[in-house]
Amino acid sequence: MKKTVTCTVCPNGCEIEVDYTTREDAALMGYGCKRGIAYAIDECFEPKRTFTSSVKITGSDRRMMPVRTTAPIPKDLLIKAAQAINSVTLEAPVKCGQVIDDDFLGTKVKLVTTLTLERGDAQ
Amino acid sequence: MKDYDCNVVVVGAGPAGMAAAISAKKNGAQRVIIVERENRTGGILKQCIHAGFGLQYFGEELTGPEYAERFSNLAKENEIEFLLDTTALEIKDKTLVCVNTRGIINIRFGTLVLAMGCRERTRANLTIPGSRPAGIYTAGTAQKLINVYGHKIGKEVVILGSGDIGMIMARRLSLQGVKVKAVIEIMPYLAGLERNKVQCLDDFNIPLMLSHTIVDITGIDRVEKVTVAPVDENRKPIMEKAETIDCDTLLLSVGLIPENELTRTADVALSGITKGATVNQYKQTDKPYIFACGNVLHVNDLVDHVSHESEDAGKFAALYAAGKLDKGAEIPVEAGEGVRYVCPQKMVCADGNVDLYFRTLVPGRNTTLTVSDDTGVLLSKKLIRTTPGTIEKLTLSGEKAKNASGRLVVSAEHKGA
Repeated sequence: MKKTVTCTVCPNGCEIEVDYTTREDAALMGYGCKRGIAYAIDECFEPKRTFTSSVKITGSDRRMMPVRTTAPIPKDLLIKAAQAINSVTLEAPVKCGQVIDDDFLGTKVKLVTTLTLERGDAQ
Repeated sequence: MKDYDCNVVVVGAGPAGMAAAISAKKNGAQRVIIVERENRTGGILKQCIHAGFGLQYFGEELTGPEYAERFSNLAKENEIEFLLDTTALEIKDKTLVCVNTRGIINIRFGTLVLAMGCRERTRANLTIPGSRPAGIYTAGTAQKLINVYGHKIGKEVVILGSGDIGMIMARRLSLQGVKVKAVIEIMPYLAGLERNKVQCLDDFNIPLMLSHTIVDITGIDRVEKVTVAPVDENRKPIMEKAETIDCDTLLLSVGLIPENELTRTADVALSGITKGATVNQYKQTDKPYIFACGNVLHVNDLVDHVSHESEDAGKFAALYAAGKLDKGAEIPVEAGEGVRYVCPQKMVCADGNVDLYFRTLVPGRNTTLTVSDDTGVLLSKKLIRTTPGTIEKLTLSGEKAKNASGRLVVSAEHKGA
């Protein structure tokens, strides 16, 4: 099978041609770096994305705490991920990188906060 | 009323302002103050909770708040002083007049760095006809309402403009369970980065309608529908082919305008194309004690570029404040064939590498980028493809910069469409 993948690893957006039947025998053209090779192969077999969103937080002047997965998770899980975090409420203070779930949706990937927020008013 | 004296004052605590301030401090400025009108540092990055920042600068993929926090930690380590909740009103000679709840504050400075960023173009800037119902937001406002305040903004959304914030909001809304019906772009090509089309539109099967625009907005209390028409090669709507799309919300992602009101109070020369100050490679404006960086200088697509550019601005602002920056003769830097603009617009022929940032006019493949002076080609680079949505950069070596003569011209030639 042949597939053209626009790499999203970095802003260069390389167009990578993948010719494949299995993960192992995939032949690639047009990639700019090693990360692009891994991305393009994943894109053909199991596309993954970094999930980012925000969850409720109390005890601070900011009402939402931004969160992310520490690595990309399967693309098919994105909607489920968005629904799963609706029930999460954090309480300030929170440190950037604080773990909310260390096996998010059974992916072995962590869900963490992306902002340090003191208790009470703005910094 | 309290007055301050400092070597360098920076207006704006976003990524540009923080990078400039830290760099000024590291390059010898003893006292550096940042004035910020909001109650937190970070600027627009506070609401950009998606990943994709820092790949070039930090070599890892960060979200906006993470990128901002690294810089605000560095600022604190470097003893940068922040005046938060403080608005800069006017530049009067070498005094910045500000106001906050304590009253008027005068900050006397050696040099000033403009880092105020941009604001969004609105419906009024586009003059879209139709009624004036609720449910029309600029994409960045919607981003703040959702990501920072946790509000829902609508159920069925149409997005006008294929800028990066608009596409990122298309994904954000889709993840919230909101139906994004279309992204409409008047140009025949994407305004933002290709990677955002892939991961924000294609992933969620959101149609991108190129060479289309909105010609009417209908609704009394709330948006009910928009009328969309294809445009001809002169970007004129073909009304016979118009169709309507039902929606309750319209997002506008139609460009940014550098926020240069403060700049004008100092009578700094502005570029008609970038809408930012005209500067040399030191990011120095025609008022030698005023420097500019970040989106207030020209609209960037990557914060990583902003950080690098702003470090230059901060460094040279510190050197000028200390009387160590000799301003030699400047030659003009111009946009040649196939190039929309180049920043800087002027170059001092002196030692030190010169980064030239520019945008091409139209997308194309097998592009040759060149920098020439009156004697001939100084530098060229071949790229597989270029698009106006992506800023290009060429670095002229100090040796070539020092010996350049006449004027510099940056051009782009496509061998394929």
